[in-house]
Amino acid sequence: MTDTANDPARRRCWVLVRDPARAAELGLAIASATWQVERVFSSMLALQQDLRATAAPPALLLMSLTFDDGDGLQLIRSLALVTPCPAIFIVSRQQRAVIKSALMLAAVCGVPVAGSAEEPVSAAEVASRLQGFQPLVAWLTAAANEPALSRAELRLLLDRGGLQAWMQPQLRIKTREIVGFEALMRARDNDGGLIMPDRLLPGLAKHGLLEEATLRMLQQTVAFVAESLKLGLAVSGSINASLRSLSDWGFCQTLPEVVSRAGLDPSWITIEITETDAMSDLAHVVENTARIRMLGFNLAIDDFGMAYSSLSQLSSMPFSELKLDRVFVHEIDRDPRMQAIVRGCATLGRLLDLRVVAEGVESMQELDAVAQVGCTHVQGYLVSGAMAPGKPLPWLATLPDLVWTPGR
Amino acid sequence: MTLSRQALVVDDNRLNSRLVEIFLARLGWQTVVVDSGSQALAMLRERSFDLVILDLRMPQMSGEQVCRAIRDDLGLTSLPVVAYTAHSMPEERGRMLANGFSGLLIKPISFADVRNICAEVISGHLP
Repeated sequence: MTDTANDPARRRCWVLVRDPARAAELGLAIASATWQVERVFSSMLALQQDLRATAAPPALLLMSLTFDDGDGLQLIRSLALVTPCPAIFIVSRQQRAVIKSALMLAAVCGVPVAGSAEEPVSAAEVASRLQGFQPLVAWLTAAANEPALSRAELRLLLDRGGLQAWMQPQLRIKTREIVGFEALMRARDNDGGLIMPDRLLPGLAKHGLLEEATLRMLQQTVAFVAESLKLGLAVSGSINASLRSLSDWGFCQTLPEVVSRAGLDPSWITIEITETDAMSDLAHVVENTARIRMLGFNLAIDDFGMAYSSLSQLSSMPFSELKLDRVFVHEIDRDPRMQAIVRGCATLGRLLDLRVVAEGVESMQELDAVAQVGCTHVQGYLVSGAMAPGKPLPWLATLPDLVWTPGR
Repeated sequence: MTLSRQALVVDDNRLNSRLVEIFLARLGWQTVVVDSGSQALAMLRERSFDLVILDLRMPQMSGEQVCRAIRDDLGLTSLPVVAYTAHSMPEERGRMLANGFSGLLIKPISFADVRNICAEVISGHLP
């Protein structure tokens, strides 16, 4: 799961391209696309040295894949150790399969991906693709200048109700209806600044507060869904939960209490667990996921395709929804290999009667492509980013019968 | 003057039944809501309906028992009875239809789902 930040400090960029003239050209072009290009390199080792030395790595690294002193694959591996990790945008002459492998390596290593372009491509085109890119902040990468919150700070946030569920809509492709929202965790600091999950989740987990925080998210989501249903707006809600929380008996007992207090049927609520989480001890996973379904909730596997689950493991778990990671969705319209992979996942999902949600859909072309290969739902900036509390209902009110049309 | 079509919604969850009622009203239907199988059967003895939407998971009589009673005890063999359920696996779908249900409305529902069911009722396409 990823999120955005509009902070200008996050629009700092470094460029690493072997040919200095090309590097300078790209740097100039993206500087005109609201990026602040701080440093331009033609040597990978020089860039790595500067990365090690700086306390504030850039939000974006525009890079090619071959250098005189190394290659992009080595660089991606080393970037995984940088905190906070810059997102990469790859510009390369390599064949598309190689570029895709590099992007996959980045995803596997937890390096955020801003996109890619095959040479020959104009610098202006690269700049235009980066224009709309919002730096991704991975769940667990803490921004260096914004330290993770302490136990006391987190406790205070929980006590004063400072955790907020921001809602990102899900669209059912076939009917173009908005049918649900995923709740994403946010908080406000004392100055009203937004605190993203990367600064919240590691601390919540470390200090044993994750269950409490997850319940707060559930309470807000349940209240939102119940209110929507009363108004005749049929939207469901999803929350993220860790498997460790689900193995906590007390936590699991509280889930149905929260929905029943609101008078809500639990089938309006989906619990999402990540595939990585689902790949731990199988007996443990099956027990805890089956319990969620017994309680009447839906169960989604998040970031599907990012870990190495076997089909037999998947078939042992009572999922009702597969969520395909954005890595498979990004520019899928131009990539037959990704289409094949997503078609395979969607076929599996359809045969198991699951919802198949494509995450990170940002263009109509991507929406059409994921629909073509069998996804049933989409989520992403094309429809909307996550909305602050109080925003979703007025937004829904603008949609006739909740039917979304592009360009709204 | 055409009379509105009449639907009976049977669900012990008020948010669910209210939502269906809002959707049906938007489609020009009139709705009676009851929250148990026994009330549903009593209502069906009293008057006629064009459609029954029946929650499967209710505390006393399950939806499947109610459906059987509608078919066998009340003899309403051609009344469209739709199962309102969270179960969507193909084998469950088959079982529902074999047990006398005319169709399924899978939770969580959308307006288009209810509109489609109503269109099928009107066109006589529900078995």
